[in-house]
Amino acid sequence: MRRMRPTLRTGLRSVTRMVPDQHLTVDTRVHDLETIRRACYSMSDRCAFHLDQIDEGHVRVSCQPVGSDTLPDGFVKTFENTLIDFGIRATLARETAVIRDLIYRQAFVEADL
Amino acid sequence: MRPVFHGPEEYQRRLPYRFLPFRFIDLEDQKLLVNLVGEHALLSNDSFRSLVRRELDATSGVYEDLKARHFLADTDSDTPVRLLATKLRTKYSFLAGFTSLHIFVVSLRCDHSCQYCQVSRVTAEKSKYDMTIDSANRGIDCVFRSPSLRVKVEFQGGEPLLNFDLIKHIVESVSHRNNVLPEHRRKVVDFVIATNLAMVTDEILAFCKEYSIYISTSLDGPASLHNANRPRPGGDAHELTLRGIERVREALGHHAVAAVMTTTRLSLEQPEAIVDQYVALGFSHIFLRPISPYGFALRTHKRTGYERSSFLDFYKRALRHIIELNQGGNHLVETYSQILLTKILTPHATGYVDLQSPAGAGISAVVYNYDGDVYASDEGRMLAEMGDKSFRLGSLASNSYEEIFGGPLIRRLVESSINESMPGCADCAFQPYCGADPIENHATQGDIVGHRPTSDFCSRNMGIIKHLLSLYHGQDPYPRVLFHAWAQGASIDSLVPRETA
Amino acid sequence: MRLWSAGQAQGLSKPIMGKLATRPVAREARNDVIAYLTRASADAFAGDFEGYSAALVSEGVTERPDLPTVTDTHHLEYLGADDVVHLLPNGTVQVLYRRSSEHNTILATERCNSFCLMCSQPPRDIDDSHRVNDILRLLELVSPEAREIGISGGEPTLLGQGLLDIIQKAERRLPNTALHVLTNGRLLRDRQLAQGLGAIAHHDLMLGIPLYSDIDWRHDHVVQAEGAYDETIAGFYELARAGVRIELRVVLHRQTVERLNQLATFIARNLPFVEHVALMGLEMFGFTPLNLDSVWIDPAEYATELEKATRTLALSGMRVWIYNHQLCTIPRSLWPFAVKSISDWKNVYLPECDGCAVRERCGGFFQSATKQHSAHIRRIQ
Repeated sequence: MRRMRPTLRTGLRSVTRMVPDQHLTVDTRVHDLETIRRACYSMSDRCAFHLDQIDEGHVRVSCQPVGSDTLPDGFVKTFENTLIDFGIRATLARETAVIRDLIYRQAFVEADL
Repeated sequence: MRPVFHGPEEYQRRLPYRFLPFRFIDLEDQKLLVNLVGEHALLSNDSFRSLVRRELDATSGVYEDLKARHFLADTDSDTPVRLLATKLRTKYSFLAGFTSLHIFVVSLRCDHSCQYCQVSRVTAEKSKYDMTIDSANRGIDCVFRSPSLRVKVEFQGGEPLLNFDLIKHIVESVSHRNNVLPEHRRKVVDFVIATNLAMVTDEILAFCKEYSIYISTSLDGPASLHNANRPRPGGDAHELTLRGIERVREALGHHAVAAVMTTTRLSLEQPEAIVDQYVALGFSHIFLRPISPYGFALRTHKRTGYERSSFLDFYKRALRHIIELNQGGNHLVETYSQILLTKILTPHATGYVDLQSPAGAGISAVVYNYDGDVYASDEGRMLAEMGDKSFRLGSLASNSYEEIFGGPLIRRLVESSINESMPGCADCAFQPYCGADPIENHATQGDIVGHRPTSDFCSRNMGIIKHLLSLYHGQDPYPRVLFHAWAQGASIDSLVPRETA
Repeated sequence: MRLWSAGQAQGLSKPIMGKLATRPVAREARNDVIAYLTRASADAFAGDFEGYSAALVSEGVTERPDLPTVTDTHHLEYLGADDVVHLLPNGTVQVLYRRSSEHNTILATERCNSFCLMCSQPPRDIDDSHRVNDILRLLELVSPEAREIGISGGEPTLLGQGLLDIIQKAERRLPNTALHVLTNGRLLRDRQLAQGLGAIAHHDLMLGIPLYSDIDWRHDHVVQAEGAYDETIAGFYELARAGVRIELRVVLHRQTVERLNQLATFIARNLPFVEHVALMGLEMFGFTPLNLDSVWIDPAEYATELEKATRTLALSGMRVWIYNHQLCTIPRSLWPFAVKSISDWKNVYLPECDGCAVRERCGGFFQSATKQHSAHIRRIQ
C-alpha cells in the first residue's frame, strides 16, 4: 500500500490524501459535503463510493472500482478536478439563486398560459 | 453655440460584475459555458479562471462578449433579467400547446416480423387487434381538447394500413370537425401514416392525396441490411419499400414520403452505405436515431444490442459523410442534429418530444392503443406489450380527459423529468439542449428519475452535443455555416445568396 | 433640388397649405387647391381663380390672381400638380409632399431626447407643437395613390398622443399608403403608448429603430444619452408585444463597426422578431462633420466586420439590407444585400464612377459626400 501526496492545481495543500484500501480524505473546509456528494455522483459509473465523517473537518471517501479490481488511471487527479469543478458550480448556483428565481418568475408570469 | 459631445467614459457606469446563471463543461482543451437559455461561449481555461475569481478584465472583448450574452452583469439595469425571461419563455413556449402529437395505433396486426419490433407479431387473421370506432371517436375528442393550434395525428401499428377503414374514418371525422370550428380556433392538422407500404393501393393513395396525408416509412439502409433487419417471407422487404416509395411519390409528390431508420448492430458497421442509400433515393432528410431498448430489442438483445460508444462512432462517421455530401452540393439534412442545433444556435423552441424538459411523454405526445388504453409514449405502450403497464395513463372507455391527462401518473412523470432539477442534469452544461426520458430510465435502470452516469440516454446525447459543438468551433469553417442553415431549416444559398458574375 | 424657396408674399396673413394645380379644377374642389402659375400653366386658368385657397406664381409670370399669393419664386421648377406646399406669410414656400417622389418624409418635430454623434437632423429645443395640426392637415391633401410616406424628426414619439392621432388619420385618409416612422424607440417602453400604436392596426406601418451596440454604454455613447440602451430595448419588446413591425437600423461608423458581428449575434438571439436589419452608411452632414474624428472610418476598412455581421444575420434567418454604400467599397459577396437607396433628389456620382459596369445598380453618393468619402472609389469592370 502506498501513500501519495499529489500536488493540486489550486495551490491548496494536501486537500486529499490517498491512504491504504483506496480511501481519500477530504478537508471539508475546502470542499464541503454537498460538493463531495455531487463529485462522487458524477463518477459513480466508475466507482462505488462510501462517505464517513472522520472528524469535524474531514470526510473519508472510500472508492471501490466498478467492473475491475483497480481504480482507473489518474483517478485521484480526476477526482480532485471534479471536486474543484463542483465547488465552482456550487458557488455559481449560490450566487445566482435569487436572480435565477426572478428570471423564471418573470418568464412564466407573462406567459399567458 | 457649438454643441457639446461626451466621450465614452461618461457612459461607462460599470459596477463590479456579478454572475448570471450559467453552467460549464470541458470541451477539448477549453471551457464551454452555457447560460440559462442555451447561449454558449467558449473560453480558454485562463479566462475561465479569471472569470470565476472575478478578475476578468472589464475592458476585454471576452468580458464584453460574456456581458452581451448574459453570462455576467455589471449594472443595476433590469434589462438582462427582462431579456433572459423572454428568451426562457420562448424556449418553453411548446408547453402552451400541451398535447400536439396524437398517435392512433389502429391495429396491432402486421405482415412483417422485424427483429427489433416492440409489438407482438400477430398475424393478419386476428381482427380483435384492431381499434374500435368507439375508441377512435373518444381519441378524436382528446385531439380537440388539446389547446395546440397545430396538431399531428399519426397512425401506427402493427401495420396501420391493415385497418385502413378506420384511418379513413378518423381523418374524415377530424377534418370535418375541424372545419366547422370558428376560424380562430381551427387547427392546422398534419396527418401521417407510419407504414411499411407493402399494402398500399391506388385507393389508399387517392385518399391520402385528398387529405394531404404524409407517409412515413422505414428504410434501414441498403438491401442487405434492410432485409436482414426485417425478415419477411420472400425476403424482399427492401424491394417492397422502394416500390412503395416510388408509388407514393408518383401519386402524392416527391416529398410526401419520409424515411425513418432504426439502428441495429448490423447498421453500425456501415454508416456511409446507409447515408448513400438515402441520397440515392432522393430523400431530403435522414434521422439517425438509436434503437429503443424495449420489446423485442430486449429479447433479441444479443443480436441487435450495441454499446453506447459504438452508436456514437456510427453517428460521427455518418455525420462526416453527410457534411461532405452537403459540401458537394447534396442537401441531405440529419434530423437529430438539426433539432439539437436549433436549440444551440437559435432562440426558438423545438417540438421534438423525446428531447424535452419536462419530457414529452403524455403531455406533448400521447398514444391511443388499439384496445382503447392510453399510454404516455410509444415506448410506454411497448412496455405494456411486455407485461409492464406502468405508463398506462388510463382508458378511453372508462376515464375522463382530466383523469387521463391530469392524473397522478402524468404529474409524476412531469415532476421527475424536469432536467433543471434532476440529479446529474442540474449541473450539466447541456441541460438546455437535452431532455429526459423517464420511460427509458424505468426500462433500463429501474426508476423514472434514472441514474445519470450509467444512463445511455445521457451518454448518447452528451456525446452528440459535444461532437456538434466541436465541429462548430473547429478549424474547418464549413460545418459552422451548414449547421446554421440546418437550424434555420433552409439551404445555405437561400440564406446567403451568392453574387453571380 | 431644394425643398423650399422664398418669394414675395401678397395678401397672405396666415400660412396656407394646399395641393398644387397646373390646370383648372372643379369649383367644389378648389378650397384645398393652390393655383400654380408657371410660364407653361398660367394660360390654362384663363383668368378664373375664384375659390382657390391661394396662388403660387413662378418668376417670369406677370399674372396676379386676386388671391393670397407668393410670387417670383425660383428653384421650384420640379413642382407639379398634386404636390403639396405650405405658403408662409413671409413669402417662404415649403414643399411638403411631392407626388412624383418615392421618398416623401414628414418632419414631426425638431426636438429630440437623444443627441447622436452622427445625427443628420440636429435637434432644436423649440416648441413646434404646431406641426401636429399641420401634419393632420397635410394628410388631407396628400394623394391617396402615394405608396409610402416617412415620418421623421427629431424624435416623433415626443408628440405622444399627437403621433397616434397622425397615424390614425393616415390610416383613415390614406388606406393604400405605407408609413415608415423613424424613432429611437425610447419612449415606446411605455406599454400604453406601444399598445396605443398597435391598436390603430395600421395596414402597413413600420418603425425604423436604431441599435448601435450589444453593450449598453457603447450605444449610450453613440446617442449621447445615458440609459438610452435600456429604454430602446424595452421599447423593442413593448412594440413586439403590441404587434408593431420593426426595422432595426445600424449606422456604420467608427464607434459601431468594432463590435458589429457581436451586435448581429445579439440581434439574432434577443430581437429575432424584427422584420429586417438595415446596415446604413454614414451621411456627411448634420453633426457628423463636428464629430469626424470619432465617427469617420473609410468603409473599405470595415469590410471584414460588415461581411461577418451580414453573414451572421443572414445565417440566423434574418433579412439584412446594406444601404448607402457604394458597391466598390463593399465585398462583392455582399452585393446581393446592397440596396440602391439614396433618394433620387440626393444622389450624385464622382468622376471615378465614369464607365463603371455597375453604376446603375449602385446608389452613388449623397451630395454631402463630395466633402468626405472613401479613398477606394473605383469603377468596376
